[in-house]
Amino acid sequence: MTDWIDTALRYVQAAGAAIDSVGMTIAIAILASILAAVGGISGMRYRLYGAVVGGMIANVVVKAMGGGFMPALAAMLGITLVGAVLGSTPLLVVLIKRMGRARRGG
Amino acid sequence: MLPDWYREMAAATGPSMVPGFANADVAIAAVAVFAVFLVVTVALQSQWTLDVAFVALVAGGLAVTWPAMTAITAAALVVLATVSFAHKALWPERQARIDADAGRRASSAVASIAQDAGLDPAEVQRVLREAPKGPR
Repeated sequence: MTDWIDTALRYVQAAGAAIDSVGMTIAIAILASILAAVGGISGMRYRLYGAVVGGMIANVVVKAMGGGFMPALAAMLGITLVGAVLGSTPLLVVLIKRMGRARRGG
Repeated sequence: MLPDWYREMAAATGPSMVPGFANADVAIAAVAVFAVFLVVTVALQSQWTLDVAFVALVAGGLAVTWPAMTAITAAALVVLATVSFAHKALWPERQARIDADAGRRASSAVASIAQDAGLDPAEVQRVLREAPKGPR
């Protein structure tokens, strides 16, 4: 069990090393959350679809940055989980309010 | 069984995550399964076949390199557009009902989110009236 966890953590670390940018990782996580939230308007199934699409974006980014298949899979699963958990209508409301405030202030 | 030109082309795309199969093999298989189950979904209006189509596409994408993922995505979009146009041509009344239902759901969801976000309801209604009402 601990070997499995250790292997998984190594793959996550390799994915992080491939992306090599906290900002990009956060951006992909937010994108996955938005996709999940938009999908969630139609129901839980489509919320999961949206999160998986966000995870696949992470997958392609890790592969394009030179990460292997398994680190890319680890990134996909992690981002999908984050997107599914955070992606909700209140998130969209918060983002729209922030955009409105930024537009009024700018 | 497979022609030499295909074997050479597949070998040139490199190995996939599936042992013994090239990226081209996995990509073509994924898009083929997606296309078949998408057609069944549209014909029978069933939900579980759409899930299988989506999972096939995701599994295929996970097993190939990133250029092959791009090719899978492009091919899937072409298949989706073709099936959509064919459905609209063969069953226009059913397509109109689906479009109307989708438009109603989207409008109510957008209005609810906009009100929660504190936007002006009159402005929201204006935007909804001027927005395109689903695919033409």
